[in-house]
Amino acid sequence: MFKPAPVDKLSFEIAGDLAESYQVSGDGLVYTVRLRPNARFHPPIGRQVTAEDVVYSYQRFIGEAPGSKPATNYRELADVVESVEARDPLTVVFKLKFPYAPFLTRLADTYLLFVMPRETGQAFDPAQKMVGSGPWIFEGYEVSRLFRFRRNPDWHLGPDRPYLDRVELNVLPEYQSRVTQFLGGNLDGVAPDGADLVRILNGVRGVQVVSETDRSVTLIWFSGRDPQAPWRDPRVRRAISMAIDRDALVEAAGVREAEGRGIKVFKGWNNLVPAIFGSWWLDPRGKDISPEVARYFRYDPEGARRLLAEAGYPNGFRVDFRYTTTAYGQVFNTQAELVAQYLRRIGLDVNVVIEDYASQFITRTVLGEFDGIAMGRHAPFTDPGNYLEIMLESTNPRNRGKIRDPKLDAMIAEMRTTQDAEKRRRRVLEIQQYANEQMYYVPLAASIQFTAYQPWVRGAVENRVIDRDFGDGAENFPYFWKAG
Amino acid sequence: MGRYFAYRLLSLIPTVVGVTVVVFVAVRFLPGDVVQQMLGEYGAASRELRERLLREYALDLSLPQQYARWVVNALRGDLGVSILSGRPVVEDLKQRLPVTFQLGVMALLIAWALALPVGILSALYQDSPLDYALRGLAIGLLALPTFWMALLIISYGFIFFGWTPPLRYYSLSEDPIRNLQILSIPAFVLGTHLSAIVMRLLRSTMLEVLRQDYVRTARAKGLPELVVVLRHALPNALIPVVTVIALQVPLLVGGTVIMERIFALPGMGNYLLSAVQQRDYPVVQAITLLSAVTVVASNFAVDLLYGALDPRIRYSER
Repeated sequence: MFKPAPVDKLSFEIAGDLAESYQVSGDGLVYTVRLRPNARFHPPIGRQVTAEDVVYSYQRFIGEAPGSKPATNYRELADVVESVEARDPLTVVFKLKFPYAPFLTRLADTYLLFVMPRETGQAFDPAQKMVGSGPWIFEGYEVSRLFRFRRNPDWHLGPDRPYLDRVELNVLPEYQSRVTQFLGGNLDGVAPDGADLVRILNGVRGVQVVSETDRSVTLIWFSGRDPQAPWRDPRVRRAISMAIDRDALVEAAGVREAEGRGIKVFKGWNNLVPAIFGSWWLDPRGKDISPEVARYFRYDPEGARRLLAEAGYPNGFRVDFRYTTTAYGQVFNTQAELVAQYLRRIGLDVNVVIEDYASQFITRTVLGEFDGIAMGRHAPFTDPGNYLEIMLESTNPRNRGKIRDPKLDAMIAEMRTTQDAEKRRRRVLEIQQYANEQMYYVPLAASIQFTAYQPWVRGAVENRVIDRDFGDGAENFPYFWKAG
Repeated sequence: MGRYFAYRLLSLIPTVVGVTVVVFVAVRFLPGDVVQQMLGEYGAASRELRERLLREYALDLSLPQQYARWVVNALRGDLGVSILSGRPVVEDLKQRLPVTFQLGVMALLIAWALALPVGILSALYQDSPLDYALRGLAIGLLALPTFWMALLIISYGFIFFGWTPPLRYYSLSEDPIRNLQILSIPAFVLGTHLSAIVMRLLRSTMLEVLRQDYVRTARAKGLPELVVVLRHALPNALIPVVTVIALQVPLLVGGTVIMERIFALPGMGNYLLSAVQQRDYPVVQAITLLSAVTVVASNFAVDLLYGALDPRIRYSER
């Protein structure tokens, strides 16, 4: 219903997509959303998108529509929303259980509410066909080969857009095949690792490369299971943070190669809120962070050793260091190897445990069911407050570090219900500052990604929304075109 | 012969059942079940959802109950519905099976086309420089992993010749030329690897046969060397080699998984790999069942072929 605002690509501001306008009640409990009258579903439905469809989609999302089952993340909305009603064909009313400031940005999250026609399951089988109201009409899926879409001439944000007539998404699971196909001119775009940038820049004359940072947070977290673990002492957690050279982690993403070829790369350090959130991100090297806390982010192995000694571990300790090599790509894997080396340099006896993402990492370590320390990425969100709620609030089941801090709980509860944007921004910064002081999690460098486009692709560099988590298809592809 | 055929056919059933039981149980004992993976990091947040999904996919039943249900449905031709995609597995297999089958057949043909001349020449010119070179080739092909060869061909193919594998797969009926273009390289990689075993075996069986009295007699009668080799020596040397075909079928099944992944072919191997990673039980079970039946059937066919190739072999009637 919402999407990132095109006017400010470096923030999380939103704009209407299906929504034409909205109103929020004074107590923050009622959101009234007016839908665009010109939004229509794709064939075979082909009718206007109505408020009833939004109500149906919400019921389907939480598993209450006939024949539906809840989405795995249904509680992210169900815990907040009291009811959804259609006031008239184009007006939807969301009533919340409590004032929840980030509600609209949650509606812009592509992981949450998809608006589907209420004929879903009867007029078409959603396992075989996608029917929405966006810029691309689903034409077909060839198993393990490609997805085919054609331009939606009736898109409510058209009629001139999308510019392309067709989009084909090829299924190429092997990274090396993707790069070679791009080099051979068979793909319009590819996301190369930094290590392959030079190859691509040399191999394709006129190639366009965009460097981006995204909404994921690469971080270290600590097992909360053992009350006697050394990292229960904040000095140990700070020492671990100070042991890590974040600039070297940035370098591992192939930054030098990119900059050598004139590509501008963001080299920031993430906090618990990633750098892409601009003024809501507490920059570890910025003016808003206290000098004492900023010190914990600076690479200082000597200082780290001193802190360990003060905490009673002059000779370090043995620790399992867990990460997965099957999910986040080669740059992450290199960064994890570097982190293990940094931890050894301050005297820790590091036992590297590499886990399978699907069967071990996501089902145990990410849930906090592990021993030792772990490194991974946190899922992206559309609102900065969500990172803090999920990582730090004691009642949140996705709090992977099992953090139990009443002060944080109170700060988060206040932040969540603060409607005034500037006041909420200050709360978000304060929470980051406090969590950094305790170093409950150790945020690392911002993730850097590169996307390469063939010379004939137009509009990609200028119009690309920096983050992909709102959905490439609706946010980026409608603005691309190809030179003749 | 008829009774032997029936007896052997019946004896295959326990093998297939055994394989399905092992796979059925093994895939469920892997850490992280399908529901856990669907829930991912929401798992802890959604215990009631987990229970609901387990019920929905009948994963709350005991293992024997689940197995019995699956067998009954499989006997009716219903291999279930993919838990992740929601599509019937049979429908997906109908699209994917021809790709894997064609890749396998092409790989076998390439393997034999390479192995026969190399094995024969190596034996005829035993201990000569040619023999050393061909033996080296066979050992080299055995030693090189297929995935490495495939990636090397893709990378160096582009660097030196500007060649890339065709982006999209076309079936034989859609576009035969493009179909052969995309399948020839993976089939070649797989075929050369398989050929190495046949080369080595054929060389040794040929050496043995060439020393037999009847070969000496044939030569003494003044028959041309080509006739001696092709008509008298080769058919007998091939008998033990034929068994290797059956042994190569499992290798072929494993090899197609890797080739399909690297060359983005929409076959069963690619499907199986994704299904195992995501613990999509109905898909894993269906493909394993098909693979088991293929392997068992090919062994059975080779047993029967023995009698046809060597009239001295007769089947016991017990």
